[in-house]
Amino acid sequence: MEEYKEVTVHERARDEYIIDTDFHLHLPTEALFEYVERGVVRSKLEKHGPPPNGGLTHSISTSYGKQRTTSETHDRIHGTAVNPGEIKGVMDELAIDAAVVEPGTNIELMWSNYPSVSNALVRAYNDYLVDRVIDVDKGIYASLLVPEWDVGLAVEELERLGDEDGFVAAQNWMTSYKLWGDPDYDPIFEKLVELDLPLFLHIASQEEHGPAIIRESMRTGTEKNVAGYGYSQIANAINLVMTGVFDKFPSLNVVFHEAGTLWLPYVAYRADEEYQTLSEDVALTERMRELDQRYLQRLPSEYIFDNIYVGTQPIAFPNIPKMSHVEGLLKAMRAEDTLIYSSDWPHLSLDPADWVFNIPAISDEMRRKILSGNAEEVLRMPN
Amino acid sequence: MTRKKIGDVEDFPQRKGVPVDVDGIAIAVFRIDDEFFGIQNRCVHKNLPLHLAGHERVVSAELLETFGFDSDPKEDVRGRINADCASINCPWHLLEWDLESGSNDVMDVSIATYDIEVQDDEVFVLL
Repeated sequence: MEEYKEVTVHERARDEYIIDTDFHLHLPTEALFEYVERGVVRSKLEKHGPPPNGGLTHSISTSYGKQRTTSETHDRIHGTAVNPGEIKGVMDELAIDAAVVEPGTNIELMWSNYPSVSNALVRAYNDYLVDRVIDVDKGIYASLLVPEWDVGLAVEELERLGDEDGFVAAQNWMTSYKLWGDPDYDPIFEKLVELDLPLFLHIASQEEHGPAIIRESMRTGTEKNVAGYGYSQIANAINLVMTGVFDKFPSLNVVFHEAGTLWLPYVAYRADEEYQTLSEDVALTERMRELDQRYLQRLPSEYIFDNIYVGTQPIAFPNIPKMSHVEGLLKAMRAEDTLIYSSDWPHLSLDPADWVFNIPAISDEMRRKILSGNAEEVLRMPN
Repeated sequence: MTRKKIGDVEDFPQRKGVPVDVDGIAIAVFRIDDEFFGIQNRCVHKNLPLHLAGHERVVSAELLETFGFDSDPKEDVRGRINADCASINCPWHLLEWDLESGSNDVMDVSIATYDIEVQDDEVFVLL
């Protein structure tokens, strides 16, 4: 019998340099408490745990969307790795050479009614990363968590830790509470540009997907992921573009994580069409007034394809062998310029890098850009 | 039809996938009690190998104790081998594959299955 081979990824994956830009760290929240200054907040955390989050939970097909009490939830279904040794072990299995660690879903802190506690956990999480996770020699990097609900703290964290070598991006989540083109976020963008850090915007299960009546009409997890996350990503992307964020901050790059890739051509080309006939309200946005501009400097699609990137997971291409559609999709989304590989380990929707090798329409150069080239352009990787 | 030896019975532990390559054909072999099943070692969802089903690093003893070998296969336990209905849950994204028919009800597709024979403690695949 042939020797047992522990094959978990495509054999050619080990010949390529692969940067994974969405590797989740599912720390037990309790691990952060020692990084919170002693006082009222820490006492509350130690006694009652983190504040509750509202909104939808992940829909799990057999349990009404409730998170289960065993370790086998969709969020940790492929395992747990919380220190450099464990993370490196998973990286080696999946042929990942460099991983950007992002918070796990248990660190989602939006919608908390106790911002003082949420803020303390943000600081603690970032300190924990520096102290116990980031290991540049092993290729373990991280995104610095900057809270969208407190711009002052976001800027403070960027000033405090933004220069650390191991932070290659700043991290936040998409919400419908306030779209990311809001001028209140400009201090964050200024700091990001100064530090040469891109902004990661990740989906979150606590998003309010449009009006409540629509959300309550949803019946399945597939709807939530396709429509809910899709809405949130599209709304945020077009809001960034149309309010002139990339005119004021032309070197800012934003990476959308886990909300798909195939929306890019829809938004780019539809926005170009609409903008050409509906151009006269652009002058009224706050940022356009500040810049004293009447129109955007470029067409919307140019910002979509130059300043915006998407993590590839979930890749969602038609199943093999229906690959005939894929070449057209890759061209329409300008894959070589927009896609950045992400695995989403350890979530159920994990995408090992295999798919990149299984699609004939992906050339060697496109593969290189997807697996590492675009990430190296966008992230602030140490030399 | 040809018979190709793929190992001895002792090479195939209970309820744990074993990958074999027979003339370039990648097959995942599963042993459930006295029965042997062979299925194409590629889940067509994302083209990833199925043979990790049943392995401790995928489906832990704790999980099996919690959910059992024989509870509803639709319980979301990745990589579980469902003895009652002779199926496996893909170790990557949970798709359930019938080991006898190769079918998945959700995608309404079937993947290749292979007949496995045991004679005098030797295990053969029939091609």
